[in-house]
Amino acid sequence: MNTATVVGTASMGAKFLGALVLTLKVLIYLFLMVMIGLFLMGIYRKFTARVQYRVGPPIWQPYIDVIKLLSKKDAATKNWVFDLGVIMGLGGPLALLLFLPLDTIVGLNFHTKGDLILILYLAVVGPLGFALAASVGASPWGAIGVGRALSMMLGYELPFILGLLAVVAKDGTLLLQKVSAAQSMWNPAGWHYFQWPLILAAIGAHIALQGVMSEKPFDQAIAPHEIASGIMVEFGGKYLGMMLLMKAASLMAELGLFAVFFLGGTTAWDTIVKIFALFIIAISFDAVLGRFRPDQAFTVLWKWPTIIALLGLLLTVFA
Amino acid sequence: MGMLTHWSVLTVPMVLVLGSILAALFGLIKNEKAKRVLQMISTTAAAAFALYVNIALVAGWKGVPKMADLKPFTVKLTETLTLSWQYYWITGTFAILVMGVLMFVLAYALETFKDDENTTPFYVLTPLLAAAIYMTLASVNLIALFFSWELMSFVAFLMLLYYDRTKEGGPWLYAFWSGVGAMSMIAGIFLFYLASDGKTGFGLFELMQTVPVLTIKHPYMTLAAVLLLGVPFMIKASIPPFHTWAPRTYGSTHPSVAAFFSAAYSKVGIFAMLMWVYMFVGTVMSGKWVTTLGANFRNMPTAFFILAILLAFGAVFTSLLAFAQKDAMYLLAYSSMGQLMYMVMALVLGIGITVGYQKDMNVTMTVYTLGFFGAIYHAYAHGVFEMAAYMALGAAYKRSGGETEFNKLGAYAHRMPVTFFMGFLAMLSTVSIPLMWGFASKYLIYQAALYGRFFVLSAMALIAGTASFLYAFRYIHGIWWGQPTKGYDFMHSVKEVSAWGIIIALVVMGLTVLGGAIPGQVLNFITGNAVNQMVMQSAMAGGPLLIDKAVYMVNGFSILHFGYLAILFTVGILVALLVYTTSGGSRKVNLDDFYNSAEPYRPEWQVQLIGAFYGPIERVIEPYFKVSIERVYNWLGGIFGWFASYIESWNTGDTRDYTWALAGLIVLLMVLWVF
Amino acid sequence: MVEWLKLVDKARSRSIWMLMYCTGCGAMELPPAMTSRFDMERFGIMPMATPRQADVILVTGYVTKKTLKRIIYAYEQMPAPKWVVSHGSCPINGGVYWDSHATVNRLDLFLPVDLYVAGCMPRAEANMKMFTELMDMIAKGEARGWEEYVKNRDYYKENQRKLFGYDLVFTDGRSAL
Ligand code: SF4
Repeated sequence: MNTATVVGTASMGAKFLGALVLTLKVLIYLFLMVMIGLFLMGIYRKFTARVQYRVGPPIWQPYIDVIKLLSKKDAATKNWVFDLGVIMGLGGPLALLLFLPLDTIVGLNFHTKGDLILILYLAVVGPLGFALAASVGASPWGAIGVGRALSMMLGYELPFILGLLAVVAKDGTLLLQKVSAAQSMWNPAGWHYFQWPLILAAIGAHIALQGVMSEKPFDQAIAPHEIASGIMVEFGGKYLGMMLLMKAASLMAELGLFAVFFLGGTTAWDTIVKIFALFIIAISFDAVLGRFRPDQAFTVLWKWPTIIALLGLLLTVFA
Repeated sequence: MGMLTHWSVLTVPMVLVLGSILAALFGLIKNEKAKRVLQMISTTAAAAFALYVNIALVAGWKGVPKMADLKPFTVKLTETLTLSWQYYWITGTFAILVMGVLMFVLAYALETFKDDENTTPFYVLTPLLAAAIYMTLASVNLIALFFSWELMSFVAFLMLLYYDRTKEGGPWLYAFWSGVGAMSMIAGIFLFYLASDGKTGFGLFELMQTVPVLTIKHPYMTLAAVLLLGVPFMIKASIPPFHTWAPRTYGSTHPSVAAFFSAAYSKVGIFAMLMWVYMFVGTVMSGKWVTTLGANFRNMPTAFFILAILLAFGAVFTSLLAFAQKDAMYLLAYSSMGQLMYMVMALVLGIGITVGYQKDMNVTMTVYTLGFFGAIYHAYAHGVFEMAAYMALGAAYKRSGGETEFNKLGAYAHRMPVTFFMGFLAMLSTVSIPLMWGFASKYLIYQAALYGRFFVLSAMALIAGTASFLYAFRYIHGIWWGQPTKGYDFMHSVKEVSAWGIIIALVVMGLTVLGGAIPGQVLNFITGNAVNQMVMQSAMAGGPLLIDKAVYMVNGFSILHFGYLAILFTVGILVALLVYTTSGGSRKVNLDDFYNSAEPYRPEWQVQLIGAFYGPIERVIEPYFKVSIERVYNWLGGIFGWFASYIESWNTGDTRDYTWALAGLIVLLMVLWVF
Repeated sequence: MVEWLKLVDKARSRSIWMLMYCTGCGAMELPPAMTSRFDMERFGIMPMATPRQADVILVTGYVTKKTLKRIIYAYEQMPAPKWVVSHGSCPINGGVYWDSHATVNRLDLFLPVDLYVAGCMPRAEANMKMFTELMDMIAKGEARGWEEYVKNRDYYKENQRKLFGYDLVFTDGRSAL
């Protein structure tokens, strides 16, 4: 549709070259983001091990796992829709990454073509794809897992959205580049996180972020000890590998969105640093907390973070 | 071309009635198959013609007259009172939707009616209902509207009565509420008559303009008139607190009937609300009410704000109720109600801000355009996806021998993938996945709410959207995937729909994506260029709004390039496909081969987990639904029932007493009418 | 398609996800191997919840006829390449249950066992040794029991049938929708 504007140069050869460079940039960007996401997961495993007085796996363990999983020879599939769900599940977060300001790292600017609402709705394509695959997988554990995942989504979405909308109210824009432009890069006083009354919204959204990443205490959907890893129960081999990649991509997207909205993520590099910081905070809680029951988690999420975030939103709107 | 000059607003209804008569005649045929096919062809052809005419009128194609040249239909009753029906662009905009849905539903009904169900009432009554809807959409006079409205309600009641699947009293509930609506409308009309000192001709546009004047003279009476007039409209659009009829009525009927009802018929309510909101503006912003109801609260008149909050709450609550349903028909009914409330909320926002927020005309214009056209576009999106969801369910309904409960369905997608995909895309559109029609329309509504700085409202609308994921997944899992609940042998007897059904399904799927890929064009097309004009006006006033071919933009506030979205989404999927194809192999396993703690699955086990699917959060939210409006009505009904039996106890049970009472009532009504 | 490098075998050896089929007492010694004393996650070894995700099935203890069915089913659900470890005397030669009417003395008649860990019960040190051994074997491409199972399918199926008296079939033929 808009390829002409995407490429935008005159002669045929130059156009082709431009398209090639663009494609390469996109691929490099996606590769980089997924790699960083996997690295984060490596940190997670090392960190948790250390908290438990263990040595833990090497930090590149997730890369090894992904290679192993993708090289499995005969992963079980129920139906071609199962495969489709998995492809949709990985494709959604990858498309989502392209709409985040992190893409400036390779000099792309696709993030100026969409806004917060798009990101919020693009973010569910991945989970929905995997939910479809779990449903096709026909295991009752998978169905329970999806039920729990969606219940959790209903829970954390409310405080998370209220928190984000407070920033929208403050800056009067849904555009991510404008939101980050309204903050300073390194001076915490210039971040939305530390501005009154936005700090309330930020805290509410930050608690919800734990649910968004399905870290403890909000990891009911993938409770390996209760429901045989829920959604993933029928996923083996390359399907599980793609799910790990999806998890890595979503981690980057979710944390990146939060960093841009509250921590002044301006350029790609500082956003990535902030992503690391956010992730360390999240896994510190994850390492020491237990898991809520699904109904408890839902109640908690619709109570405290929601009240705090709503207060932040109302104070911002009526300021 | 001579024929063209005779075209009037009645042409389309007459063709539909003709189709209906033909269907009735074909109903006499003994051979069931031939009967159905002939009925389908006759009515679908009529619907296709109606669709063509409306599209041609709205788009200004050749071969039909210009919209303005289409003869109005008028009946002169008295000197001052003339009933008139006339075609104008909003008629066309809604009629395209109604006729399109009619065509698809009629054509697909071959796949949804079980062999032992009689199709004749459906094929006879549905075109009649569509004709009545058309007349309602074209009435420019309150009395004319009343007659069309009641005709419509009556035909709908007949349909519901015939296809009362569950025998839970759904049609009677509908009849009761239609009766309430009719009485309320009469009362409203009568109050208008009184308020205007008997001088009004009941023209709709005239009334919209004179309402402020009437309000200055008779504030209470006019407000009461407007509110009473609004009741039937709210009932039809199932807006709280007048929504209690909808789930049981939609839920208890046949899927094809429900498809037409929720996708097309309910849109009359949206259309009427659109008219009504303008009248409401007129009365709220005039005379006595300016300082109370019309006082601004958050950029909107207070009355509008209350209405909007009510609708947003309603949307959240119905969406929460939807995912707790155990029956697919009820689930879709609740989902439909939630979506309708979205639309009316957008209308209320858009129109409310035009009178509430005067600081910056550009902002007002922008929010108005977004809200108004967002509502219309969402009406379309909802029409398409709700129809598709009900039709897909209908196909499973036929093949399962009439089941609509989730715990008796399951795994049908293995046997009917195309139908599944229709339902799947419908659900993707419902939850507004980008590039689906539902996203392009909801996006407009969100933009309106956020740009108008209604943040809590937006948050509620977004949460209602999240809740829609829950019910969408329940629909997908409960009907189409998971384990079969009737055994494998039965599943092998299930067949995919015929080639005809597949064609329809593919077209519907195409529509779902089309409206989401090039929204600007589609929206402009169905509104007869009205969007372009609004945007142009806004641009001339230096406004920030852009709804272009494939771009939504409010300058400096939001932006969405659908072209980029399509390309980048494809890129994401392609990269995923690359990973998929370059990685290791896979093997197909049978449906009963799943992880069950290494215990081989036996078909007699019921492991299609659907009953307690969202059990934990259902338990959390359940207490908050203890106080339901329906229960309040039942309580009131109980009191009235007691009162009625009290009156009844006065008389001896002699029929003559009733006769006299009835005669007295008629005399009273006549006296009222004269004065 | 992904057989292009030794790298893959190396990756497989450094990321062993196990399905612990803890049939008997031997399971007792796995927690020490998992927790901070021996910490097998150092080598990327983790327990998994379902056979779909697992690479190696650990049969830790005596195998009764009843459990053998489940073991075989779980094994067949795992994606290849996959390995079987016979853990403790019981699954190797019957152990103390060698003359029991209910147990199977040799697991390797029914499944291609890649590695045996003797002992009653094998201690955590032995477990760790077993894992490192298995890692070496996988890295070198020596552990190919899963190919044996495909190649000698008739042999294994015949043994299974002799034991149970009927063909072991885990899926209903009609369930292929
Ligand atoms: S080998 Fe020893 S420890 Fe292991 S199951 Fe047999 S008896 Fe128990």
